[in-house]
Amino acid sequence: MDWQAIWLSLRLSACTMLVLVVFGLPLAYWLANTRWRGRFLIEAVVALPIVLPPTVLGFYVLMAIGPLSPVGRFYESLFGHRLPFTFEGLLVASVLYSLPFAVQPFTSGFAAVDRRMMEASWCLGVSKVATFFQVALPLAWPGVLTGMVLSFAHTIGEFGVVLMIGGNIPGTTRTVSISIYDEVQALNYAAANQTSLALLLFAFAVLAITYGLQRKFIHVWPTR
Amino acid sequence: MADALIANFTKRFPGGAVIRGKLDRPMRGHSVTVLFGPSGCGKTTVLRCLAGLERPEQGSIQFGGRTWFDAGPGICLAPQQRGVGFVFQDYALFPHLTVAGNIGYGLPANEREQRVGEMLDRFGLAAVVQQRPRQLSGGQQQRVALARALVCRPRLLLLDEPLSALDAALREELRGELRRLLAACDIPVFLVTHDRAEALALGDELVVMSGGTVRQSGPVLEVFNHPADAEVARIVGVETLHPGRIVNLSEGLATVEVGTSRVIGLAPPDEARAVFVCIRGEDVILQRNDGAASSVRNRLVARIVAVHPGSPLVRVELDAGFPLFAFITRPACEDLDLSPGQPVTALVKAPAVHLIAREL
Repeated sequence: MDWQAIWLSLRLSACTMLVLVVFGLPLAYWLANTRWRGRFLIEAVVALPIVLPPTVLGFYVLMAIGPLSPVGRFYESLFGHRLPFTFEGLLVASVLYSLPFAVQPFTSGFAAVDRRMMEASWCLGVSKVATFFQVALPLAWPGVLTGMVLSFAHTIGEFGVVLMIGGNIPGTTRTVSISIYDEVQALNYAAANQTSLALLLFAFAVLAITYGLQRKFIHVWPTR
Repeated sequence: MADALIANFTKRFPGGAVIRGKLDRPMRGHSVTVLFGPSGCGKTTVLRCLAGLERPEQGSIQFGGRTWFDAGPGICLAPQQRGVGFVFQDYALFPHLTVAGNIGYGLPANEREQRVGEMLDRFGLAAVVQQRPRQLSGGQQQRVALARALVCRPRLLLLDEPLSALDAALREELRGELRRLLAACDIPVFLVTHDRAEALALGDELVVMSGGTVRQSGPVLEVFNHPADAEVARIVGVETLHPGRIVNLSEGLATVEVGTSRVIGLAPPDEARAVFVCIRGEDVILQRNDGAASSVRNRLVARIVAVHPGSPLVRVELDAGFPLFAFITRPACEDLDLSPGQPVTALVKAPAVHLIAREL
């Protein structure tokens, strides 16, 4: 088994999840509470990675962070190296690619919290930010947990985007899915099977535990 | 004017509903103002605008000389800056916090223990201090909600349908308790309800709302006994409400032609000739045969249309030349042996006939 690739995938997924928690939670809270009419536009943008082929997303991210774009040049002037084909570049792409898998469950979690809970807090003189941490977040935790697990698991399994942005540099951008692809290309089916099976079991275990825990609190899968 | 709550604002909703709030209440000392009206008339919206939870499009809200909201310069204080206690419908207690956590939620950490302790004593909640809201009875939840709203020492207390979360039997019991608890706080209270008994039991002042506007405001009994127009009369529940026409005015008494009959009432203060005749069911006396002369001015020959049994009062529907409703006790109904089709005499004192100007 390619332990280096597994370790890289785990690191990438953890970092992606953390970035999505930091940026996704406020975005989801806003989406769940805003009365702005144009809200659907933001929802559509957030959901884009679900329907776009990973290659399309990867291509545009590559363009956006490459040396020809202002963002890419700014990053290079700041850190002295380019974003594509690095771990950081991969992280940027992963965050975008897993965005809906974090933000949608987060939003459902916040939307399930009675708005009057927040209003009660405001009327008691507690600021909006403190209300978010003391009331909204603790009450939305089933959705927050789902979003964290799904974004982590989804990043573990990404392939197309990694190929476009990261290439195949062992220890830097060679993730589990790329490793499996390489093994298959080399007709090394035993090794590919080993890693694939591990990934399959991991994905199933994570989802089963999450949904099992949540059965008691909220229903991700609707039932009658 | 510095010691008053003066509000006059308009809130529009995307669906087209327009709510106009117009209030002017002194804010010194204790008084309970009830916002009363049918469901969907905008009472709750007015309350939410006062709390800063909704932002009106026009108008202003002044509280004790301070501007809370003014559409002109675009001032709108956040709920946090208004110092208002809000008790929500169904209470909106924080389910993840204990009773102590709920009450102490808005307090700075160094004062929390002491002031929560005071509230627990005052509201009799010491025994449930470590419980979560879902483990509490309806009455306890109400007390926690009040304690949580009052512990931050608000200058104004707002309650949205405080008893509607409870079932009917408990509601009556807790109405008394709520009145005692409210009487103990020396700040102005605004309370929203659609329940007539609640309004009568809890309110000092009544603001009647309908269709998004304030129709009438004044002391509770004043509004209940003298509705300003037919709409208010309907809302506060005057049983008999029928259009009539004043045919004679003399010495402060008005003779009104209503249906095929005539009644005498106190002359309305304005010049109106077209009026609504309002008679409360409790003010109608029924008699089987025309008795001796009495001071009662209105002796209406009527026929019973229907008898609606209720407890403790029976509602009798009469045809006295116009539809007339009477509330009498069940024993009285049995003594008179009333049944549909029977002729009776309905007695109504002139002061009980309230005349409301009617636009033509």
